Amino acid sequence: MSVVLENVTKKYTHNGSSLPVLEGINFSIEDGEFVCLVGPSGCGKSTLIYLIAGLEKPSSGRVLADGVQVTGPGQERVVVFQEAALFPWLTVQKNVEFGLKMLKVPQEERTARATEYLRMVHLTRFANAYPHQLSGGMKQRVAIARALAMDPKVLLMDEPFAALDAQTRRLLQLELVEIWKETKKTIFFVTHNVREATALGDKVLEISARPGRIKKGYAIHLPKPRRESDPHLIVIQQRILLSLQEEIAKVVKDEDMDYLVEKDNAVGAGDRAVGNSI
Amino acid sequence: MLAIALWETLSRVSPWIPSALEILKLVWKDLNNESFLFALAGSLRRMAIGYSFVFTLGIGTGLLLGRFRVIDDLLGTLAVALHSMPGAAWVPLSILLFGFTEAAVIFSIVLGATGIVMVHTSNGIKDVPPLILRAARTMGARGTSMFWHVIVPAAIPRIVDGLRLAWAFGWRALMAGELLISSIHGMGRLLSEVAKKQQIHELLALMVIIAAIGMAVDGLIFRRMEDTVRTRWGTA
Repeated sequence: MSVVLENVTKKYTHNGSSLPVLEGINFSIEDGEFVCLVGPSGCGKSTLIYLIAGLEKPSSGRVLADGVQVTGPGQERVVVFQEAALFPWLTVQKNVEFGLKMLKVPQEERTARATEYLRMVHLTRFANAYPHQLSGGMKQRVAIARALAMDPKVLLMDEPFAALDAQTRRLLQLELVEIWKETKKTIFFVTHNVREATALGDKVLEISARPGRIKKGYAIHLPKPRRESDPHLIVIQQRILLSLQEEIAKVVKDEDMDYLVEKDNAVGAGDRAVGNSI
Repeated sequence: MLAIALWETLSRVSPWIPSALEILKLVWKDLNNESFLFALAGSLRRMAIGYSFVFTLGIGTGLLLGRFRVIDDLLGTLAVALHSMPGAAWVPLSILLFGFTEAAVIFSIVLGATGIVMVHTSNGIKDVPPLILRAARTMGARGTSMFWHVIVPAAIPRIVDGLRLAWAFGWRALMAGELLISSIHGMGRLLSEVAKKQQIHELLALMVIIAAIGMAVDGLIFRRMEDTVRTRWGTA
């Protein structure tokens, strides 16, 4: 599914004063493309996901999915949230079946499809477990399986791996790449982690501090899965990081803190710090 | 066990404190006495009937309050008022309405315990985490399906809390009702009888039994239910 945002702005009004969150957003995601969005926290990344998902409406501008204006949530645009947001009263299997049940898919087919996607995320053995019995990484896998089971045309991922430890995150990134190759889904992936964005995206969009604007776009034509230490990636990561430093400095000033981020700190520290400190 | 040992020791020291062992002996004697068991069965039956009303009415109206804004605006305050009334305070009205009958006792239980279930149920429904609702919406849950498949199950921990409190409230209302309505055979009447005869040991034995039943039902049924729900739903 192709997704196009045209001059999208989003303002929140609170007690009469209006807070611009997103301003003049223009970009497009091609069918089958894996697009990552990076930016400092509080710049409206999640809001952007909600706009495409149809959970919120833009204050002006249009969001188009396959050329049709988005007016509300739809099963062809499913979100994977940072906290897995699984239903604690349902087993893993029933969680994955949930969307299909809402679509009134017959039980037999529901079971079959849920089983298929649980296999894809390597959780067949946990089909009858409850979410509280799973680790953070496993929960996130269930959330991905639950989204995929609905066979959406685009998968919207809102910092899905942000709460995971580094090893689990890396593992899930690799699994996601496999899933993307196998299913050829369009994926829009939001993260604050530059290294993650460059490891996954065909295109990486950088968003500025509030009000969020698309600042730059980087095309990365490297085959996936990518090695984290690939020198090409590191060059791109450093360019993005440099550009993001300015944004972070703005955020810091905005939040009226006592210190300013030194422009060279994160980059100068070399590979180890790349992508970590955003 | 420790508490009983402590009690027994104190009774040996002070002549004012009755012996724990003696009371336990009386408890045992009661439990083997047909007339006592008959009274107990009567009380438990009234509690069971009353509690089924509390369960159905409390959850039913609670769901309505949570689901429909209009009903909440109209009756929400009433629910809170109902739940702040002690069960014992309903007994006189119950007697006026139903006379000195079993129905009056059951009515006191229902009015004394339904409010807490209503308030907990409707609050549970209104406080479903927004993230859960968002996730459900993106997967196509709307209106009725959202309510029954997402909102109600998400509210279960609160509903269970309400049911547990309602058990305790109902048990108290039952005793209050039976104490005042002495024409029916139950634990409350036994209490007032032995009190009139100034049989302090017998009275204490009855009180021990009443407390023990209350605790047993709470511990064996409600605590377990709550624990399961807590682990599964998470405490948040």
